[in-house]
Amino acid sequence: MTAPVIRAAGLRKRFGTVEAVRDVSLEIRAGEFFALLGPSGCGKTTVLRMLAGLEQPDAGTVFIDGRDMTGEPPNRRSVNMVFQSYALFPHLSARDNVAYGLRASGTGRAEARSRAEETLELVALGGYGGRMPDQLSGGERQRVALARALVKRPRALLLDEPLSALDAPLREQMRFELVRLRETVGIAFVLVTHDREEALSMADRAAVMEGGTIRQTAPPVELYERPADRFVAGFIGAVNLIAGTGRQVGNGSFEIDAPGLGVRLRGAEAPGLQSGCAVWLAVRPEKIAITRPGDEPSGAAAANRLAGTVEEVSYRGGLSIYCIRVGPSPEGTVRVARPNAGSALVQPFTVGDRAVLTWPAEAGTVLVS
Amino acid sequence: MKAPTKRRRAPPGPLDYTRRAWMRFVLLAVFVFLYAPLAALIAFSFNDSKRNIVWRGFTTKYYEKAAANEVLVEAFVNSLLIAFFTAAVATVLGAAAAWLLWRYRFPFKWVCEGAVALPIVIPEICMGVAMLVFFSRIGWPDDLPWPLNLSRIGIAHVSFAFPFVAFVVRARLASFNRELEEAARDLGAGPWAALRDTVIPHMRPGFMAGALLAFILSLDDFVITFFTSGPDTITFPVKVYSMVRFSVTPEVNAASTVLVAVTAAATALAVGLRNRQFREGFL
Ligand SMILES: Nc1ncnc2c1ncn2[C@@H]1O[C@H](COP(=O)(O)OP(=O)(O)O)[C@@H](O)[C@H]1O
Ligand SMILES: [Mg+2]
Repeated sequence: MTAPVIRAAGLRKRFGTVEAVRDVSLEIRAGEFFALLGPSGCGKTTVLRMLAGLEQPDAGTVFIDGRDMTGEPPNRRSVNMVFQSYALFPHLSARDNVAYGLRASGTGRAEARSRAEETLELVALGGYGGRMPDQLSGGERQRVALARALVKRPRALLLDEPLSALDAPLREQMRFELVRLRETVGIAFVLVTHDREEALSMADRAAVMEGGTIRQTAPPVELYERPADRFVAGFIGAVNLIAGTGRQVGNGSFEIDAPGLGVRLRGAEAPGLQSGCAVWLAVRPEKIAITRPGDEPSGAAAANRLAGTVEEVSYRGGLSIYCIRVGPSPEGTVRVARPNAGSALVQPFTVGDRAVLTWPAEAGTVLVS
Repeated sequence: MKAPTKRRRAPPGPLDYTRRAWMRFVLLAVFVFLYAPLAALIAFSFNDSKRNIVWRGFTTKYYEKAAANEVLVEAFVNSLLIAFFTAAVATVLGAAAAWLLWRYRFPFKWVCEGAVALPIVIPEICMGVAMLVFFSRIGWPDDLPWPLNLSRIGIAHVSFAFPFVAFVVRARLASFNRELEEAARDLGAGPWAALRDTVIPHMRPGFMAGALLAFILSLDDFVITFFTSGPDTITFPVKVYSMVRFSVTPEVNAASTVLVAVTAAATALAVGLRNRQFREGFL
């Protein structure tokens, strides 16, 4: 495997009494699309700014291309940033904005101009070079910001919530364009976002942050299927969390006594699990099969079985969400998502119906925190 | 053909101030109070009469007379020179002060901010006396050749005008997006280049407004100048004052009209500059 383009180790940053970032370590591999995902205020921007050199960490180191760049100013680092506000220079044309980085590092006028035009074409803005920033739409401004950061051929591009200022249809389209752009230029992209769909659909790997720390770094599928803790499980998507006491049963499986429900459940074994500790079984709503009593599957597909009453049906277009009460406690409801494959005009279950929920052992993840 | 139906005018809306009669009257009164004395001054500067009481016909002879008054012309040149000097130095100092106070945090910053704003609120007479005492105490030479003999007035003017510039530039800086400067750094510019390429272009309208303010403040200052001028360093307002002490002649009117014209021209220039778009690239 090739050496990481960016490696950060033990980054910390405090603003007055706020510990914005505490002990963040990450590695960005060459040419990958990396997402830094987390709720607003969790320190994502601060991490990105420390990678760019716009903020000095209180502790920790930043390596770029294997060289320690911790104390170096931003103009010495071979990474470039796309700011959340785009930060286009208002008194310069689009072309001059793009050429700025080249001119600032001593490239000649003619070459800067032709490379600026080339890069504008790369982001589908050929012929827009003469426009001033206030004559461009939001989407066009963002492309100029992208071109301006890409023109210096950085080792990695840092993007801070690049899509948040765009309206929904444009945002959707820009997701694909960003992925394609990364494939064209072949450098690593580090995307900061609070939108899980953005991270899941675009990234090769993503780090989930919360409260200034990284909770888990993994490819999107793994984050979704095997979250490391309850926060990641809930932040990445809707999830049912069933509390209980764990017990190892061997052959890759784990048993949970859920006292609230009075049943025994099985989930996939995860490292670090021990018998007797408090655990949570995390099951995604769409992995649970809902059937009428007596119709439920048998065998491995029904390794877990809960019976209950339909409490609520919520129609969501392509799928319907059912809330099933399986126990008396407030947490005793399970959400099930069922695709509306046939006609949704007649829902198979209505409020008050008895239903049986089943799911295989490997559909759930056992979490210890 | 049918005549178009006559439409009744809608009643005035809440923001249609000028459509209410009493509002128009108030506006008119304000304009009269503001401009009637000025209009009279300008009109009587063309009055062909020694005594400024009745209109005796149009003439420009008092302008000629004023232009022939060597002391008056010298005072006028002095005033312009001091005003340009003040505008230039106060703009640089004021902009630097505004930038430092905006950019950096340092101990006792609030003291510095107060100290910079102080000359705006201190009564001019106190400033004038303080300047007089200060210059005589440090023994600032009195017998310098022209135009260095104006240095006392120039320094005094800079010290009361630069806080106004700092004020204007600071207000402008408040709307600066700091990510612009960071973007320049990120793209390879050093700290000074980033300042030159992002902060200073943003401050530019503030420079214009500040320089104009300093120019006009200096041009028509009387009190502080009175205390810092020597026997042969007379400025235009001081000279006009000494002429008025004998009698208000049409010559004084003519001289004052020129001052009004210069001020109005400077203002028009500044407004014009502001409206013109600054569009410059480096390619
Ligand atoms: N320059 C700053 N001064 C003071 N507090 C800051 C500064 N920058 C960020 N913070 C604080 O640090 C925390 C993390 O901020 P940030 O990195 O911007 O989060 P995110 O980008 O994930 O929304 C927030 O609580 C924020 O208020
Ligand atoms: Mg942020």
